[in-house]
Amino acid sequence: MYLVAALLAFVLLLVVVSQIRSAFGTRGAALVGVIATPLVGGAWFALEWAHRHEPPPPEDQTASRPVAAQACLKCHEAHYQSWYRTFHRTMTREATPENVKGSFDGAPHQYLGVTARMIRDKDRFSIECEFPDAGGRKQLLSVDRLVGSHWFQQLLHRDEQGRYRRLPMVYHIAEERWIHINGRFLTPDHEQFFSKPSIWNETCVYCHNTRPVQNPRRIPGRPDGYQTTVAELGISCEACHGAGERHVRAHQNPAKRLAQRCSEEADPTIVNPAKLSVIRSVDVCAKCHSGAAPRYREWNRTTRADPFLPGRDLKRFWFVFFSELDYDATMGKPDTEGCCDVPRPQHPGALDGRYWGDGTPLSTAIEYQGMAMSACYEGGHGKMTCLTCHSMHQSEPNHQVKEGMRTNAACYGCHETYRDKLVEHTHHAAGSTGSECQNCHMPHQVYGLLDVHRSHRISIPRVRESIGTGKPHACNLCHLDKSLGWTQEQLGKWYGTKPEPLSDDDRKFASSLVNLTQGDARTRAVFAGAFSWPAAQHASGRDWAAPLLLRILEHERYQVVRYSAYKGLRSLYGPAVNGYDYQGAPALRAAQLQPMRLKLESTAQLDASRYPYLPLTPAGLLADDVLERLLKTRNDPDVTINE
Amino acid sequence: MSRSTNDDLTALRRHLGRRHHLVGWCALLLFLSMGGFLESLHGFKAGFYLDPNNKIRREMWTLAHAHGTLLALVQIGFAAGLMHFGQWSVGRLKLASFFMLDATLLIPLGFFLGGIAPSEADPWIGILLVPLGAILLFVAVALIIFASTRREPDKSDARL
Repeated sequence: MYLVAALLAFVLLLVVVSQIRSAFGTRGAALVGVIATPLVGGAWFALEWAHRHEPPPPEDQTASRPVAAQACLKCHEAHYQSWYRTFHRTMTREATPENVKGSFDGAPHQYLGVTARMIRDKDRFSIECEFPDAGGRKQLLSVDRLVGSHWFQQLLHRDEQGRYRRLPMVYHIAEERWIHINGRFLTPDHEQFFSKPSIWNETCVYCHNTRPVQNPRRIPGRPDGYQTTVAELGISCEACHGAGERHVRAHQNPAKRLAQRCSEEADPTIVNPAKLSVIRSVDVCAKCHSGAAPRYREWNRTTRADPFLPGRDLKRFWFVFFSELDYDATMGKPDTEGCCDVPRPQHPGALDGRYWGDGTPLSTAIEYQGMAMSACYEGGHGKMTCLTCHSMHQSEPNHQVKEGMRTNAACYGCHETYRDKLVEHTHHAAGSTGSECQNCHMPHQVYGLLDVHRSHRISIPRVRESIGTGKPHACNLCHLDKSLGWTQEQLGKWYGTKPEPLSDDDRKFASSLVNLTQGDARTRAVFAGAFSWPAAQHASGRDWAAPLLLRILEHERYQVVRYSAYKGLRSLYGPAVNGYDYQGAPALRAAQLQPMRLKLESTAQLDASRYPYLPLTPAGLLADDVLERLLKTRNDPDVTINE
Repeated sequence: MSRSTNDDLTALRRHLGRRHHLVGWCALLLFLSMGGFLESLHGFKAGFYLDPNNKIRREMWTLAHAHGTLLALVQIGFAAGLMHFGQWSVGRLKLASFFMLDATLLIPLGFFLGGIAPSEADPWIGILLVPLGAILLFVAVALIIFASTRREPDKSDARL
């Protein structure tokens, strides 16, 4: 392109000079040429020289001046607009009328006897809590900042020390209702109204904002305070593209822009995650999608500014954990030496918090670990990155999956041979849910945000990984009415897999039933969530779920599981099951379940030949004695997942 | 000024007046047609012109149309005034004429080329024709102003 430009300039110069010559003769043309050529050439040379002698950006740019997304808009409007649509942008917002999702109409919301009212006074928002046990004492807390805009919107109150404290009421966007925060996270029922009072400056700030600087202020005798600053609330350009100050400055020079346009090389003044190495590219997303913890040894301990910027080695500044055991062991020693991967335990505990017993991540926000454990990732030495399937700019905002990557095309990019033997491989009809690669290799085994999500550990579904690990088997998340034994039998027939020893219950009874009655809360949450999946309803039948889910709701002590089971009932039976509040008091919930039982259980007479893995009485009802026995042997330790 | 030089200049003014008159009307036809073409792109909601990602193309081609039309009118105005106003020398008149024609070609062409394959941030490299055309237009206009502000020779001198 440079050659074309030079040739064009030369031709134009000749034309102009010949015109001058025609007007003023050779001397006039020569005079103009002698004056004009150095002027124009010199101006361009100066611009070229300036950009060619721009020093490369330093490795550490944490001290650079932050650049807001507005500054990027003037050149990258399309990228700005596509980012603007995302929920990344609105991850954290100030509490203003345009950002607030929930209704602040002063309506009372009762929980644990406390009455909470969300109140709006012009453009200011607050929560009033009334405590009957304290003689009707009222507490008014301003709502100053918001976290979340996609699934939930959490409210933050700013105190005198500059701390943003999470408030107990949360707006559940999907359900369009206020809930208490106890129902937002997987945690057993308890009697605390002000629970989970996270401090935004300490926890949320690093993942839900761009270029955060914590700035702790410790004043003896007073609670810790903060003067936290961020380049921008929410995730904006610099979160993925690194420090932008040099880029903005360099690209004000048109010669630089032209040179960059003609070059195949990546622009050294900015990071393009798509042009980084696989590991560095994945680091950009893993910063927030790996539940990492800071290595303060590498940080500026005064400001606690996040030193990780895209392009740098994430694990130098943040610990990335592959199990809760690692987390506990490492966080006990905050200045642990070394800067490489934390070694992965081969056998994480069966109740390893955010990981299933086989090490597969089970909660959202640790998608990186799932991908890193996948064979497809090839330890970072292959081709697959987060950007293989996701995109910030060329995707729908919901899950940011690129167009076409929800289909088998996502896998055919590397596994082309399966395109022609899809039915032979999957043993399901082409076009059916069972023939979609993701449903077996990335099943909905992850819990988070009051919903179930696809696992990012791309793996072969093996029965042995579901024995004693709590992890539901992919087949049984769709075939809810079938047992793990049935799954093992099918996989043996189709793929010749070796049978594993199974318990009687695992062989005889539907895996969903066994796990909903006996499993721990994490397993129950995932299985209960599966009942809302239309594909599972189609494969498993819709007429047997009510007695089981109603029974689970009677016993359940986790709000999350109650919500998921009730959501399943609603998706199966619609308005017939209206009027149940999973956050209600036990007596109220029992009363609400009663009419549902009368309506649904009396009509549920099941055909034993159609449901060979359900324990049925001769009358076709779910056998109470079996359910009772399974419930009595439930493995139900207290589990809490703070996603 | 000798009589023959005066006649030469008058002939040149007439010749260039005709040329600018013709070029002006032709350019007006061309750029009005381009306006019609751009309107039809709106009518048919052509994605390559109207999609948000093609904002620079739309802006460049709109500018090409607008500048081309305006410069065509300037050509016609220049042609109309050439025989009546201004104290010209042959060299300055030739140069002003050349540069006016160059600018009428280069500025709209630069905008048009700039819109052919723009990046997200910048027009295509053809946009560099625009500043060049602008410099030439600047010189031409300066020459016209210079010619317009020079005193006409007193006609009584000629009688003497």
